[in-house]
Amino acid sequence: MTQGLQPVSALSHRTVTKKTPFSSPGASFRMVPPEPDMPHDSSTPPPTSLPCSEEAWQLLENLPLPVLIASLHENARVIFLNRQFTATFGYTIEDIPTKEDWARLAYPDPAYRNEVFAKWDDAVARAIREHGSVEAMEFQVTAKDCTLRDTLFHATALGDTLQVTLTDLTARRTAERELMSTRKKLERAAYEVTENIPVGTYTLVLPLGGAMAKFSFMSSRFLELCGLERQAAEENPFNAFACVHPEDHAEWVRKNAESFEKKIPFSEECRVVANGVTRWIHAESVPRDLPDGSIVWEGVLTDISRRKTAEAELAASEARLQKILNNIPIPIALNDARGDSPITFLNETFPRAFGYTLDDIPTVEAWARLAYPDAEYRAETFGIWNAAVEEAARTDGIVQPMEAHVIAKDGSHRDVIISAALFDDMLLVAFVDITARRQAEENLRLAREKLQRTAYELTSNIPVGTYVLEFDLGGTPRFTFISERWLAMLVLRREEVLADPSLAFSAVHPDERAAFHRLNAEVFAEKRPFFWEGRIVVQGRIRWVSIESIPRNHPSGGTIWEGVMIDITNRKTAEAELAAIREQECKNEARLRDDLERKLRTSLTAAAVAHEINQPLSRILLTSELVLENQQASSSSDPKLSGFLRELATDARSIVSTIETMKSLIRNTETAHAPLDLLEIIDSAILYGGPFAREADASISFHRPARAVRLAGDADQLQIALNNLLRNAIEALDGVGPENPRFVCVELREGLRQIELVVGDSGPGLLETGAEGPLAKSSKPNGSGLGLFIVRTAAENHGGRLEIGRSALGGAEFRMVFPKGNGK
Amino acid sequence: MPTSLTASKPTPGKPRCVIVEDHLMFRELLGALLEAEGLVEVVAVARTAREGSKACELHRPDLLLLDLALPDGNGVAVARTLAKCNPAACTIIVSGEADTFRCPPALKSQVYSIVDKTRAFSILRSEVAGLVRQLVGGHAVRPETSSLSPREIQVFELVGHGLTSKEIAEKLHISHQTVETHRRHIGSKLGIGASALVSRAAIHNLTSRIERQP
Repeated sequence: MTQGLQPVSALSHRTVTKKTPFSSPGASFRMVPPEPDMPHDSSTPPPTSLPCSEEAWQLLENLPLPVLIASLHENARVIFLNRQFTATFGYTIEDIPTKEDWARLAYPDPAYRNEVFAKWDDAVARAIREHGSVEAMEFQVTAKDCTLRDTLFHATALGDTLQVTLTDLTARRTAERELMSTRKKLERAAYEVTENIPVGTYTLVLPLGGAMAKFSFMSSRFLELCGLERQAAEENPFNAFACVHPEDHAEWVRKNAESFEKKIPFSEECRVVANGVTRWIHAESVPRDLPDGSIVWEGVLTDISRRKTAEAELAASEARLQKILNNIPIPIALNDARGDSPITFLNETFPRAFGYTLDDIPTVEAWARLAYPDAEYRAETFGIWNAAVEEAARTDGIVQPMEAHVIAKDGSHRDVIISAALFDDMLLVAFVDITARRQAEENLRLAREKLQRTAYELTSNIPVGTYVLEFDLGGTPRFTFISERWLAMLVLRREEVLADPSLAFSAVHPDERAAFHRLNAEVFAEKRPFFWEGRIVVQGRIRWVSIESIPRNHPSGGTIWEGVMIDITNRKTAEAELAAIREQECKNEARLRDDLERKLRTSLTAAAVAHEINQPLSRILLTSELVLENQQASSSSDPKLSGFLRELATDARSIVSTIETMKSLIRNTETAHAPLDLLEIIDSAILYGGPFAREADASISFHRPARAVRLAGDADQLQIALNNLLRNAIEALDGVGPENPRFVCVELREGLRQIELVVGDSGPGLLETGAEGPLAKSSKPNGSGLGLFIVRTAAENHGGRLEIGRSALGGAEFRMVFPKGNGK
Repeated sequence: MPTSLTASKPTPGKPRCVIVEDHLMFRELLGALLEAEGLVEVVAVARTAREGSKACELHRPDLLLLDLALPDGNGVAVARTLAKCNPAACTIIVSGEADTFRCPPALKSQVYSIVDKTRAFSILRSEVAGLVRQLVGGHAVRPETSSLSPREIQVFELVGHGLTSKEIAEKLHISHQTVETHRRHIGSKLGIGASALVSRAAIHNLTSRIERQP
């Protein structure tokens, strides 16, 4: 069947008009390529199986669709390709002489090729079997230039041939693919935009028939705001409600239910707690019906925490402002400057000050009527006020303060200074109540008037003389004011002084007159303040006065001297007396000092003398006693010498005793005060008294305190006193028989306020214990009586006293009592 | 009379004495007084504090007769030296200012007595004699009643006389309980128990009587 078939390529070069590929419709034909070299007018007849006319071939050749005719036999030889085929796919009949060649080139991928031909061959076989058309099929064909062509194949089996029409769909498919890609991109972008906007979005579908609602879309932000995992929300949409703050939950569910039920848009604010963070959100949701009867709620969740915080802060700030305003101790009002000027706020001070509350004065007009009942005054005041407010609105907003007279609710009158500031349309008005100040000013004015009225009286009544003396340019003096007191002090009459001002100076004491005039002249020349203290003689009596005068210039060029004269006689007298006393005191002091020095000198001299006498005396005494002893021991003793020696010793002892007493007396004339420990003194005195005690077969005991007993005093004086007491006590034991104890006991008793140094003995005691008795005269037959006197003086020198009583030992007890902390 | 600063051979049994006195005549008189008694052996005499200290260091005497006002300072310095080199020694101060001398606490146990120069003859001899008796018999001790209060002394004396607490209470017009308290205090001060108190008081009483015998 393929014989006589011209290569398709040859055909393509031939003029189309010469081709006749078509057979008549319904006729069986074969696809036979025209003989290339054979002119269409050749005598060789075309293959019989191609019952085509030249017109038909021409039509096929020029058809704007690619057409291919192939044999159904002969290895499926390609019989014909039209021009559009080659134009579309690039292949000529030489390229694809058979179906196999076509298959290899058009479908280079073997797998795809097999897939294509499995479908195609099957379809072709079915078409032949059913005498119908091959169903349309689309394959991707590789063109000769290697481009891929989306191609739709239509084919019809015509006899032994298969006529295939190919439609190039590449452009369309490309467009379609691009469209798809763009759509996908758009979807992606939409998704991303939805995900990234700062609000949470969702779509909730309520299926028809009451099945459970389901989220069909939830943006990540939505999940984040609700603190939900996607899965949890998908499983049960009501999980989304769990995040609502417990306090807001009930209301939230109620509103939701209402919206769902009535299918009305939902818009609510509430708090949500997600991941431990509480946020304010605003949820909005709008229902939409779907064709299938279900309802879609498309919602948006917006985080409004910042707004809420700002609102809260604003509210707090307003509350603070109100609190501040309330606590300001001056009345403050806020009013809207627009419309009928409603008053929006009065601080707590306002009603206290004026009595009016917001109920009384809801508007400025109401206020004006009540506070300024006088229409004329009201008009005048508000005229000024409104002008000031307008001016403030034009400038910096500060209203020029003005003073007004306001009537309070209780009818009282108030002077106030009103100041205000304009904030946008709000006027803040402050009232400063100056009623008290005005009253004070009024009182002050009255007081001043009164003061002026009484000034003259006062001036004339004060206990100093006052005057005003004016000098004109020529230096002529003239009194312009003289107080009564001044005149009285100088015993002058007003008229005579006014007539002759020099009379004022005439009273100055003659001894001081020259100095007074000199000072006057100096001060007058230098125009400086004048001060003088001196004597004046009035009616033969001398008085002391001080005169003080201060100059100031007179407008006419002269000088005004305003002066004061004070009688200082009493002060001067007192000063003189004081000076005399001081002088006397100085003298006394000097005398005392001299006295003390003399005493001290005498004491020291006497002590030194006593010591000096004692030294040789002790030698005389010792010598005479030794010699006497030797005399008495010697067989050839001279009784006369012995007598002399005895007398000498007795005299010497008498002198020693006298000197001792003298020393003690002198020692008591001066008392040194130094810190001392009485225990040390007692120990030393007992040591000193020890030999006397032993000589008298007596023992001295001392009940010794545990710690030192301090006193400020003269250690020598106290020790001598104690020596005397001990000697006295020991000597008192002379009268005690050998059967009785011979004790002297020293005690130191420390009380809260005093210290007692006690010496007691077991002697017979004093016969007479009167206050003066034992001290006035000697308690011993040959005593001078000075021993106890020395003791008493020493005690008194220390601010203390000597007390006498009976000792527990049976004898006398002498107590030197010292006040504690005496220091003297 | 031995030379002032020469160590002498001690006479057995006699306390050895150093005299410190600046005045020649008085020094000689004191020496004569002690020699006459023969109770002590004067081993050295010194005129100044410095000499006195040296003599004490050299002789370590048992007794020091010490004047206070010395040409080169206070005699107390000599007593201090003696206290160092012979802590058992005693000092008798013989001074014209004896009545105002305050014994330094550190020397209280060493200074036996203070004698006024004008009473040297009458007192010094008996003082030296008393001291020597104690030195030979043992240490110089204070009477044991020296720490007792007047009432305690009375009670102690009466206990020594053999009176019971009841009798003492009647005699002193105090309560029996008070007497018991005094006895307890006395025992505590003397460091003896109740039973020893009676015997100690009796001994004290007897000794006092013996000492008072002319």
